[in-house]
Amino acid sequence: MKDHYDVIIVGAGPAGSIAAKTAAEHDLETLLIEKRAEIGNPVRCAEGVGKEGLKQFIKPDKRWIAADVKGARIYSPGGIKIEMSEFGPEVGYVLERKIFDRELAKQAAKAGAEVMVRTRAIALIKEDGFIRGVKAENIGDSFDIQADVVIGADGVESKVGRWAGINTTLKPKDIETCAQFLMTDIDVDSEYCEFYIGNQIAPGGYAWVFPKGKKEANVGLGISGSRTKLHPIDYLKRFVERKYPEGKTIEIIVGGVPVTVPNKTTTNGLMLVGDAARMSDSLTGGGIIHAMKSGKIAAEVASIAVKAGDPSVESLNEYERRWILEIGPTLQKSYKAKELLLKLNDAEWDSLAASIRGINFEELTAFGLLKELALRNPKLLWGLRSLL
Amino acid sequence: MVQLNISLFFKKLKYRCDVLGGVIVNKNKCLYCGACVAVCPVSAIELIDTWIEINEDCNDCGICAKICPVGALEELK
Repeated sequence: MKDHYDVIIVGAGPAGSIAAKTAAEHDLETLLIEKRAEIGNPVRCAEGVGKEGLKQFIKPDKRWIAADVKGARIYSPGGIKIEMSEFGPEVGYVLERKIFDRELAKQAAKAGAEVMVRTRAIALIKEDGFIRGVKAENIGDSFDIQADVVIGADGVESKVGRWAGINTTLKPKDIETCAQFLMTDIDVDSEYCEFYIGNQIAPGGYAWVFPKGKKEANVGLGISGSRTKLHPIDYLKRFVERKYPEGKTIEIIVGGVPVTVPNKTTTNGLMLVGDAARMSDSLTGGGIIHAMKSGKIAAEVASIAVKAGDPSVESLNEYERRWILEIGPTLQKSYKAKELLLKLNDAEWDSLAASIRGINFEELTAFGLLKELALRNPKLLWGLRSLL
Repeated sequence: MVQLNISLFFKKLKYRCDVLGGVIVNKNKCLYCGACVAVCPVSAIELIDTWIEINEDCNDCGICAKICPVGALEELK
């Protein structure tokens, strides 16, 4: 380990590892630190990802693909089934994140980044209004590491932004609190992801069954942080008792998903990426692709800033400009849709589902589905008209 | 004050957990996901590897307890 790096990245999830890989490829002296002893564990993820988005960053490899998914089935509270299948960008993989995350970190290392695990950032080094590095702790030792640019990729529990004066606190309504069982010895369709909507099942969220092979699936649900009459784990136990009474749970995963839009993502010497920047999609809860996109852009901007010797917020705002261009509209639309859909009751969900029963979707995405719904239910979904 | 300490003591025994700030963390339930950290309005919680720590900035707002996916946080009332 050196005393000084061009860029330090805090957190080795998909955002951090892609940022580290990209920075190293741009010949920056790069350090990637991860507080856990093990990269990729615990996963805190339902592991579904769109193929199209993923392929921009990594060649699919069967070692970290648990299932190849051809479509989705969505069930309304009353049990009306909407099926979306065949070709489209929403069709994807269910990943094995433990292996996937590790592979991304390995690629960062191979590109030339240094990687340190069990190394936790405990504070930022600040000088003259600039972030100049991190104070870190590694197996009991604490030390300062200087850097021209710090990239905060420290996930939903991010502290880096707050230390730098960026408020990333989530309001209860802007977090989905989730629980998931990895269940085995259950009958699942290994080619379909299933979604269950309903205020009895998962108030202000949905339950999911994402296959991980023929007899295994991530069975989980998320509920709105503003509707936590019961804990997610209690809703999940209820769901599983009914759906997979004979299934065996071999892993329990819990976590929070930001369902908001990013606040500020830059300051002097610092950028926030992925979940730390609150870039997960408010409608689907998916965050991997946005995380990787933002990580890549941040590293490219860091490269320009470091080489120009100017890591000021004005210089790093190029990052903000570029991520807004790429994913800003999607994040905004998803957030608006989430705010509106949160208000629907079960009868309204059923009538929405009934309105699109048996139709062919032109666009196999969450937005494609919303468009069809809004066209057929202008009164109920008046607020969505601007998204069409 | 004495009464409060006694009640803390018994809660501690009962749950075999830490007493931190105005919130009890039940380590037998906590799966260290960090959701509580994300919602804490005063930034009093930190996720350290496989446990969480709550510092004296905690203002007993109780949001973390409501958000926790497994109910590992309990307000001291």
